[in-house]
Amino acid sequence: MKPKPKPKPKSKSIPEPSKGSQATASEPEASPPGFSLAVARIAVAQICASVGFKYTQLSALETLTGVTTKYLETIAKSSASFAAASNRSQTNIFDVTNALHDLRSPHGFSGASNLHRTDYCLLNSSVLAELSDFVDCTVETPFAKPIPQRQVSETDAGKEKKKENENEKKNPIQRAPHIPNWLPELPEMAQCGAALSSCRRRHGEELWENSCCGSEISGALIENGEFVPGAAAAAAAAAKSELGTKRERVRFKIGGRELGVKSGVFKGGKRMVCWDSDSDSDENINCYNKDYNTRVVENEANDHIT
Amino acid sequence: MNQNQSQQSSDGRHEDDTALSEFLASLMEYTPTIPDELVEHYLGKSGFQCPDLRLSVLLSPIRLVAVATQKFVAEVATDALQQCKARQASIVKDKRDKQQKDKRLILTMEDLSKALREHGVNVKHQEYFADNPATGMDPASRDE
Repeated sequence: MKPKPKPKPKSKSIPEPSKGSQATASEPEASPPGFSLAVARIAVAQICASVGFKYTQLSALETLTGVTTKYLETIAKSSASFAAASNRSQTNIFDVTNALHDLRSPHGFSGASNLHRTDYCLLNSSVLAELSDFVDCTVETPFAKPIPQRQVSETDAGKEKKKENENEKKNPIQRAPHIPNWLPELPEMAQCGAALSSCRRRHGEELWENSCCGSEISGALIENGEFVPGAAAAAAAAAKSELGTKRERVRFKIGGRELGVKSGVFKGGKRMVCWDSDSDSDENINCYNKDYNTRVVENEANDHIT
Repeated sequence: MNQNQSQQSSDGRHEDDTALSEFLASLMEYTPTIPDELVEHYLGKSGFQCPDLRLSVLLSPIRLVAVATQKFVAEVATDALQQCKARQASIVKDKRDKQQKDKRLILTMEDLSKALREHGVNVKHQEYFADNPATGMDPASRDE
């Protein structure tokens, strides 16, 4: 380093947490790498502030942030390669400890000369012990602000919806309910037919697949009640939704006035239930049950009277 | 080699085992300054797969990496601070009148590059780099 009269360094106070995060938020294009670097910069600035610095040069902070991210990446690469060398894909604490040993070796640590002994136990590692001391001794300074999760913007959501709609238009056959959403779209009917017609047999025989193509397949599936294409969809949906709609109130009476019985208890100790419904729409559906119930009630009443 | 070592760990060194698990358990309560999300991002970027932190802290080395990185940065910053203080002490001998101004603790590239060199990082930087148009201005006018 040249002993040269330097211009006075422009000092800038270490960014306040809120200030820093505002700066990241107001960046015109918060691209993911820029965002992660900004978060790292805030964290590094916090650590510098906790060590005792009051001000920092911007270039120095940038440099230290860069070194920090490189350090993280180096730990990751090194420990991942240790894991891969042991035929594992998941990295565990021992891999990370080995990687930390590698990274720590230029600085030096106690017990480094024993690393290559066969009876060396990683848990004895002085690096881990130092880390433990560091955790015990350092005052906890949590990150300034909770990091916002990436949210799907409205335009993205709109695009996806549009795409879905296009797919539906292209492919009139909707997905059957048993097909999971992540599977690709069904092939178009036109292509399907063309492909099938190209493999006709000579003597007018038809492959089984050909007979299942087109409307027949949809018809067959309708019968099963699983598949709901185009025009039949509305009707089927209505039939399905019948159960879901709100019904009129149904009253149950215990003991009927018209039968002249005060309590609902009859001779045999049975309880009489009288079905009474005012609704017209339910009558069609439930008329059988209703008739049956009232008949039973009448019979029992007759028994009682006689 | 690694497998041998991990097997040894399960062989029955109970003291180390309990010490380590205590340390990892203390990590669960410790909140590193470097946020977990950031660590996950950079680890994932470099092909590091591990069990999720939310499933089990004991199995997940993410916190360990976060603490190790924090320790590294803190060490570098402390070294730079020592450099800064040492430099200021030597300056103060010569110019007593500027003592007040130079008492500021500023993280400069000069100190940082010296501190990083001890950790095996060679930082090359320009001798003079204008951060901002205000750099060349009169020092008195930009005092805060």
